[in-house]
Amino acid sequence: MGESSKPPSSSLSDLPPDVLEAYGRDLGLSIEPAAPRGEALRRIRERQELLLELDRDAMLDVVKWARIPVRRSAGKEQLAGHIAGVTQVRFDGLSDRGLHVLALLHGVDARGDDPRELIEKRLRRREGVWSRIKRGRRRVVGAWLAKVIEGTHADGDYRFLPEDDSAQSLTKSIEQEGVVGGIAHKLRGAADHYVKQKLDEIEIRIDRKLDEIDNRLAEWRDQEIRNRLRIVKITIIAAIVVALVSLGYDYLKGRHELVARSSPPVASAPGADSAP
Amino acid sequence: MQSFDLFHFYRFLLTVLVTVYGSIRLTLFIWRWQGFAGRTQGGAMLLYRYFVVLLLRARFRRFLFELCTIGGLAAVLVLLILWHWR
Repeated sequence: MGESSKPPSSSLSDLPPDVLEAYGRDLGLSIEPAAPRGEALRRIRERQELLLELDRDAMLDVVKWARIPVRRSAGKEQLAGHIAGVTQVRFDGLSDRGLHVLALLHGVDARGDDPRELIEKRLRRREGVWSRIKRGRRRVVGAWLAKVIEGTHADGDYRFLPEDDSAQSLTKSIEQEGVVGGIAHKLRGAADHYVKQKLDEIEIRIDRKLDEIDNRLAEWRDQEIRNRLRIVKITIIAAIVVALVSLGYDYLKGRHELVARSSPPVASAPGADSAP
Repeated sequence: MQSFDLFHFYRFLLTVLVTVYGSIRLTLFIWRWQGFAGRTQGGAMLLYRYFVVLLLRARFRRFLFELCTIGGLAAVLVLLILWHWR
């Protein structure tokens, strides 16, 4: 999603639909696959024009406020892609120019002379009722979870990602450090780059393995919950059976007592046995 | 004096035994988890945190059918218990 992926404006209309859609997504636009091509092109061009107008420092303000990890040298398109994904609606700590950029990239009408409160209100209005309820629920759960897992600690200052300096040219290296030093620097840079690439590969493999373990544990958790629920179900069924037996017993006992009470006692009349 | 009923005695004994057994198991469970969660250092703490997150990530929609069944059965049980006092 870097600057290198930017297609020239003239060739934009030649791009295949899926690439066009992906490029629109990189710019922070949500283009439906079924959307007409003309519509997608119009929106992408509008976004490109908007990006030309926007101040990069204001975009960096938003990135710092939302604590999105980017390099200081990140291009406007990359920043726009990140900013369009910001869903926060509490704007404490965001500068006025940042708020203006945030509103424009979210498709909210915001003019330079609009008061801050009005822009904040418009941005909040974009969020539906259900999203608001969901956010409230997540805030409560998040606060509790942070207390359980992290304890209480203040957030540190925002820091940009380190710059990628492996692309420094040989001319510049030789200019700075001489022929031998420059070539050595370049070779060291190439070796560092190779090691970094290998480390990245190892990291990806480890991440994949961890994901696999995580998925297995999640399956185990589901199975365990299912077993526990089955035990609860069996216990309740057993309790119901005992309750039914108990009810039946009470019913039969009550009926027996009723019959015993209603039937007249067998009187042993004198002389009955002596009847002929 | 009320006459001795063997079935009522059995019911009473069963209630007492099940309640005591359930209470002991629950206390032991809480005791063990308290000890596990109380560790603030090393891998045990990390494991505890991961376990909490793993449990919170459980999707209850997957167990909706089982939960509904348990709810229905529990309602039937409550009705049956109430019926005893009618």
